[in-house]
Parts: sequence; structure tokens; C-alpha cells
Amino acid sequence: MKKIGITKKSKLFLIFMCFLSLILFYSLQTAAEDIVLQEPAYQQFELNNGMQFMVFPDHSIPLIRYSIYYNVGSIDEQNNQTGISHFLEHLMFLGTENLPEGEIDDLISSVGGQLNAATSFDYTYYYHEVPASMLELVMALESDRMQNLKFNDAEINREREVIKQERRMRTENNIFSRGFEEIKAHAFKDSYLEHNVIGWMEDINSISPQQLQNYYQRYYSPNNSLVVVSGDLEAEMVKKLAEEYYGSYQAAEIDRKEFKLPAQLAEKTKKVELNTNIPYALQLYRIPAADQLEITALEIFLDILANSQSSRLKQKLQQEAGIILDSGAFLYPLRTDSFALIYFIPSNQNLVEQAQQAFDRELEKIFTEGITAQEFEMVKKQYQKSLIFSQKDINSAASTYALNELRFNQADLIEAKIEYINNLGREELIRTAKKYFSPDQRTKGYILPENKGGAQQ
Amino acid sequence: MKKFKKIIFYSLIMILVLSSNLAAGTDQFSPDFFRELAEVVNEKPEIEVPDYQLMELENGMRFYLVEDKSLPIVEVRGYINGGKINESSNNAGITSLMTELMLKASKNYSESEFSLFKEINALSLNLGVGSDRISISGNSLNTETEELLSLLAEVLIRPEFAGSHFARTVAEYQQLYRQQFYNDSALLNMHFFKNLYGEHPYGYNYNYNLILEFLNQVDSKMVEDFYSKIVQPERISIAISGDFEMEALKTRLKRNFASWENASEKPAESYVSVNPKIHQKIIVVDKADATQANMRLGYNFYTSSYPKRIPFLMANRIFGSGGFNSRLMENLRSEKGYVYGTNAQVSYNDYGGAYFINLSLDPEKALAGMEAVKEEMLKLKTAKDPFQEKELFENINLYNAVFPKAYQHQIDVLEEIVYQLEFENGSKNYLNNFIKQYNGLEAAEVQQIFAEELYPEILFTVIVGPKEKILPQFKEAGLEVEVIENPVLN
Repeated sequence: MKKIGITKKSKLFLIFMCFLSLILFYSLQTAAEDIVLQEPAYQQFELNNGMQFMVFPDHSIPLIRYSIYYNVGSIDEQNNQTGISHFLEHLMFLGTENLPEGEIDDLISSVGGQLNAATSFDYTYYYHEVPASMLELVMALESDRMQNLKFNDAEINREREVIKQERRMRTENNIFSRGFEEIKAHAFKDSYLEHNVIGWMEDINSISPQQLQNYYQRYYSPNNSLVVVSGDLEAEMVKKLAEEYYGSYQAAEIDRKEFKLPAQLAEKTKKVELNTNIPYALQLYRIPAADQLEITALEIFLDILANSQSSRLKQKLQQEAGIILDSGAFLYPLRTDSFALIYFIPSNQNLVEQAQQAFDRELEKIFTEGITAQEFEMVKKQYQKSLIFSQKDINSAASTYALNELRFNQADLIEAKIEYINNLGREELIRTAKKYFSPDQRTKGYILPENKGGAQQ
Repeated sequence: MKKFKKIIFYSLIMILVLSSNLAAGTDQFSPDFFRELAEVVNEKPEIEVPDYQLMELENGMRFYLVEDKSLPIVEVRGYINGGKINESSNNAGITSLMTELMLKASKNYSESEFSLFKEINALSLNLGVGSDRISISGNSLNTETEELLSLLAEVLIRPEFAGSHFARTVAEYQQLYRQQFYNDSALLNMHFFKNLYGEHPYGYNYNYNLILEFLNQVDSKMVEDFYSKIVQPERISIAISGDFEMEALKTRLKRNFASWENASEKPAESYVSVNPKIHQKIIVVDKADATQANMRLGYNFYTSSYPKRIPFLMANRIFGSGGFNSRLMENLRSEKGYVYGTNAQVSYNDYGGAYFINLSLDPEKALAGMEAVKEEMLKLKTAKDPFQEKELFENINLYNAVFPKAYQHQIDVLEEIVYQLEFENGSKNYLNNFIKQYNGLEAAEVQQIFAEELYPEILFTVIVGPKEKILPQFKEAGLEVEVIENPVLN
């Protein structure tokens, strides 16, 4: 590492610096090693009706986490029914034909457990964290609500009001979320990515109980689900109870729509004016499905471009030029083609254009001149560290394997990704980034302060 | 600008055939069937106290050390005893600015070198600003233990406040605090806590106008002076757990920290004064573009030394843990559909705490929501609907189940031991004593303690939302409301 700005010249300090230099030199040498994955021990099986199970034993504490994933999310929704996946997730807590509303919470609470759920773009999942002896209870509860959910008009309408509050709270009254929703809708108009998981307010208002029931019947079937159990248990017990509680359920035919994003022929721009002081600049790009190994190259590229503390955008645009307050990037890998978001926050409204031009120059520069060996090794080292730290929690590894299984029937996809990284060259990384982050595939979005006639600070 | 990243991260984060044959299991499903399956009493857990070594340097800096070879990693947690409590009305917000700068550059490393050193060695190091102390957390792979300690020494002993990064960071903070006037939650925090804590450092920290005034005139010397008072070795205690050799680590720690000397000046600290003028007061902060109202109701509460913390904790879990079966959620969400979420929180600080209830609801239902909360409080205050043994049992059973997970890793236990020994006059057996105490509680005792500390009649309320939709309901009910026009917005 090149040293600059040395301020002390004492002998002690020189010794200290020599020592640090040795450390850095050593670090660079060791960092070039291949990334190694410590695969968790797990077992996998399938019932005759197509229902999948994965079991990750870990006897360190007497708890289990029981998760059931349904392969359905907001990308599966029809026009005028946006938000229905999430709406149904709420209904799953309102009782079944066999269990009154509130009883699921009460039962899980009574055993000292916790439960919750989440809906994503391409899946919905429910989880319970309970004492290990409660496996049968959670298996039975999930079995019951997979088939016997109750649809009561009054309860559905009351829950509709709760969901509307959730939309107001999380989307409408959050400057970034509100702007992002509009910009993404413009970028992916007339596609399965146009709306967010929460759905449009007019659809939340109009989704009928019958539509919810139809949706439930279509997607909440054994062959469209995956159960993942991790913690203090053995696979044999899960197998026995799985046969008992799910074995007789019939597989359903899942009729999926075609997932194809309309071709984008040129760059698009969308400006949203909101009640904000700080402007936000968003760049949206299309990315391939999560099983494409190129996704891994894009992750590394985005860390070097925008995420790391020493990333290009933070170094050049924030620290040196002072024209942005922050930068970052996210990939949203799904079972279908999806999107990446790169954002930067111009320091004030008057610097939006300048920051955009500087961003474009940095992107072009990295495409032309490539990345350094040091940048590449830093990200790889961080990747290795994350893998080691993830071993602290079996649930973290279990969810990674589960999603790859749910989406692609490829639980061990992460192994292929690590092999890909270990064989990835810097030139190939740049070629891949150029392929997906090209200007004609971009939507530039800006969240800008509403013009009130005065200068913004 | 971790705060921006956090906001965006969390914002982003929030985004047929029916079987004709009945399953064999379906026939047995009934409430009784499920209840039978749910009969379990979780064992009282025992947390293993790590066999740590305490090393105190001559300068008073203390290290709690324990080896853990389960993974090739090293983890650091600790505290600097001081922070927001040491601020004044003339330097509100200086602790956050100081810690941000400490993590940016040092006397030996420029800003870019600093981040490069961190990332090339895959080091993580952060400082978190609390009311009474600054937390330290960091980690690395075991192969970079020396680099992690070197970085910690750079951050704690040799931060560089002067330089181009200073002016830029101040400018970034100015924008961050200006943006708070556009954020519902930030406005709620500001108007609730600055009133509750009044002329006290805890209050200054939520007064964004005061912070902006300070940022307009701060220079690097002011930050350096504050740093010299607060960040001293005798005020720092650190836990280290991981894959290292004990004696080698001790040598490294001495090499890095033994020559660091304490400054002579000690910062002043004072207790919060309760201001009865805010009792029963209702403030509406107008935010015309909000489609949802954010509300907080509460009052001043005990310091961290409140002796009934454990029964109060259990009582408050039954009342308002935020879980679906807490009393507030059952009433306001499940029965009335007023809210998406609601919870009751206690904030204990060394010099004065707070008790408050949070709600997010339809602006036109603000008064109804407020009354529903008071109604639930009164049911307990008057023992009209006292806590049941079943409710208490569920929460004890939950704690018994989740405690082993919360303290599964040695570093988490060691961090708690450091906190208890250094700041709470506790013992290294604190966690097991805590478990024993909550397991020994009875509903009647919990009910009595909670009822004694509930004061629905003095609730101070702040609502952030569109006044046009909020005010009519209060006017109709004859309730006086102070309206604050948000100066940036209106």
C-alpha cells in the first residue's frame, strides 16, 4: 500500500509503520487464495405429492426453526390484483376451519415460541421458532392452514384496513420508498416487476374474498412448497411427521404465466418530485435470474463501484469531489429476470446533474480501464469472511440453500457460485458488468425536492 | 453516512386446484388437538459463564478476554463510558460527529488509506452512540487479529479531526439533520424527547435545530477537545472472544494501548428534571403530505438503577411487546383494526428514563387510537382486567426458550458481563440471576408493580401528521391541542 501523509517521524513510529507494511504485504499475499466453503450438513427428501423438505440439524441450543416457503410472490400476480400475495399472507393468521382466529398466535406463544411471515417478489414464507419438542405442533398448524384456511368477509375487510396502514406507513410516508415505487414502475411498465410486493392502493381496496380464495387454492399446494427445519432435531423425525401431516395432500397443477420483460431499446428517465430536502439518484438495470452465475460477478462489481468504503463512487464522488453524500447498490435476484439498483445521493439539488455526469464517467472509466487486483482481492476476502461468519447461525445457511432449492431445485447453487468466483478473471468480470450495466438498458430515476420557489440547501 | 444506507436498506427491504381429498390429518384437527400438542414447560436455562481473564492496564483500560476456537474469527465488543450525556446546549450532536470522524481517518492514515486498510484486511469496526456510553464492535478473521487491534488503536488513540474530511463530514451531517424535518419518525422523536427531557443533554440530542446551530459553527478543535475529555483509557472496557492465543493477545494489547495516557479533565453529568407542564399535553406536528399519523404517548421514567426492572419488563411484554397477542395489539389491531403495529417501550438511561407507547394509524383515527391505549392502561391500573398467570407464563416460557439463543455465542455473554460489572454494579452471574428472578415471578406481583407505574392521566402525546385530518376530532372532544407548524414544510 502506498503511504502518504506521514506526520510522525519518531523511531517508534517508523517501526510501527514497517510492521504495518509487513502486515499489509502479508495480507495481500494470503488474500489471493481461493474462497473455501464449509458446507452445512443437511438432508433433503420429497413426498409423493411433490412437497420438498430440507433438514439442517444443529444441536447447540434446544430450539428449532420451522419455515415453509410457497413458490408464489408478487411477480405471479395479475393486473388489478397487485398485493394479493401479501394480502393472503395476512389472512393466514386469521384462523382455519379448525382453529379460531388468534389461536395460532396463542398456541405458539404458549410454548414460548415466535412466529411471523414475509412476502417477497417470488416467494412467501412463514416461520416458527419454537422449542425442539414442538416440531409436531408447528407441522400440524402449517398442515392445517395449507388446506383449511377460513375466508370470512368481515375479517378480511378488517385486515384490509391493517394492510392499507402498512402501505401508508412503509411506502407512502417514506420518501425513498415512495419515489422508488414510481421509478421502478416506470422502468418496468407492463411487466411483472412494475408493482411492489405491497401492491397498489386501489387493488388492495378492491381485491375480493373470492379472489383471495382462488389465489390460495392455486398456489398453496404441497408441490408448490418447501419446508426447511433447522436446529435441535434429526431428519428421521421430520420425515415421519411429514408423511403423517402432508402425505395425503394432493398435488395441484400450477399454471404459471410467462415471465418476460419487454425489450428496452433506449435509456429511460423518470423524475419524481416529493417533499424532501435531499435528492436521490437511482439507476435501474435488468439482471438475469438468480441461478445465472454471472450474478456473482455483478455482485463483486457493485461492491467495487458503490458499496465498499473504498469503492470508486465513495472515493471519487464523495470523499474527493464532495458532490454526493453516499452511494450503494443492491441486486434483487429472483427466479426470473430481475433488476439491480445503484443509487447515489447528490449533496444538494443543484448538484444532481453534475453527480450524474460524474457517475457516468466513473462507470465508463471502470469499463475502459478495468479494476485493480487489489480491489478484486479485497472483495473476495470480504466474501470469504462473510461465509465464515455465516456459520455462526445455521438458519442463515439454511435459508440460502432453501431459496436455491425453491427457485431452481438446486440447493447447492452456492458451491457453483464459489467455483465461478475462484475461476473469475478481472477482464471477464468487467465484460459481464458491461453486458448488463449498459446505458440503453438503464432507467435513470430522480427523487427531487418539490419546487417551492426558494433555493434548496 | 451509515444512516443513509440504513434508511435505504430498510426502505428497500420493505417491499388450483384445491385438493378434493381431505388429508388423513384433517380429521383430527381441532382446537383441543392442537392444545394437546402444545403442552410444554420449557426448562429454566443455564447460561454458561465463560472462563474469562481480566487484564487491566496501568492507565485503567480493561480487557475481558476469552478464547473460543469454534470458528477462525475474533470478535470485539466494548464501551466508552460517556457520550451524549456529556454534551451541552452549545455542542448538541457532537458525540455522533466525533465518532463518525474517529472512523474516518487517523494521525497515521489519511481517509482513503484508512478505508483501504480496513477493507484489504476485511476488518469491521464500528462505534455506536448511546445516551450514556459509546459502544464499540468489531471483528476479523483470526489471521487479521493484529490488524484489528491496530485499527482499534488508531480509532481510539489517534483519530484525526482536522483535514478535508472534517468539513465534508460536517456538511454531510448538516444535510442529514435538515432532512430530519421531512421524516415523520424523526419529527416524532424530536418533539417527544426534547419536551420530555427538556434542558438536559438527552433532550438536546433530539433538537435538530440545536444540532444544526452547532454544526454551523463547529471546528475540528472543538471536536478534538470533546474527544480528549470523553475518550480516555480509564473510561474504556473491552471484551474480546475468538480464536487467539491468550498470552500473545495480551502482549499485543499492551503494545497497542499501554502507553496511552488519561487526560485530567472529567466531564460533568446531571439528572433529568421532570417538567409537569407537559403532563396531559397534546402536540400535533403538522405534516400535510403524510397519509398516516405517527403517535407517541408517554412520560418520564426511572433511571437504569430502577430495582423493579425485571417484573416491569415482564408486565410490559404482556401489555405491549408488539407481538400479536400483546394486549395493545389484540385491542388496537386484531379487534379494532386501527393500527398495523403498536408497542410500549421503556428507555432506561443513567440519569433519567422514559416510558412510551408508539402507534402508526389513520390520521382520522388518532383520538380513537389514543383513547384505546388509555383504556388498556386503565384496565390494568384499576385491576379491572388484571394480568393472568397464563399471560405471564407465556412470556416466561418464551424467555426460557429464547435465552439460550440470545446468548449462544460467547462474545454475547462476555459483553453482558462487561456491561454489568462496569456500569450496573452487577455480577458475572447477572444473566443466570436474571433468569432466576423472572422465573420466580407471579402474576399478582407483576400486576401490582405495573399498575403502580402506569400513569394514563399524565400522558404526554405527540402526533405527527396532517393537522387538517387530525384536529377536528380533538376539537369535537373539547381537547386542547398545541399545533406546531413544521418550519421547513409549511
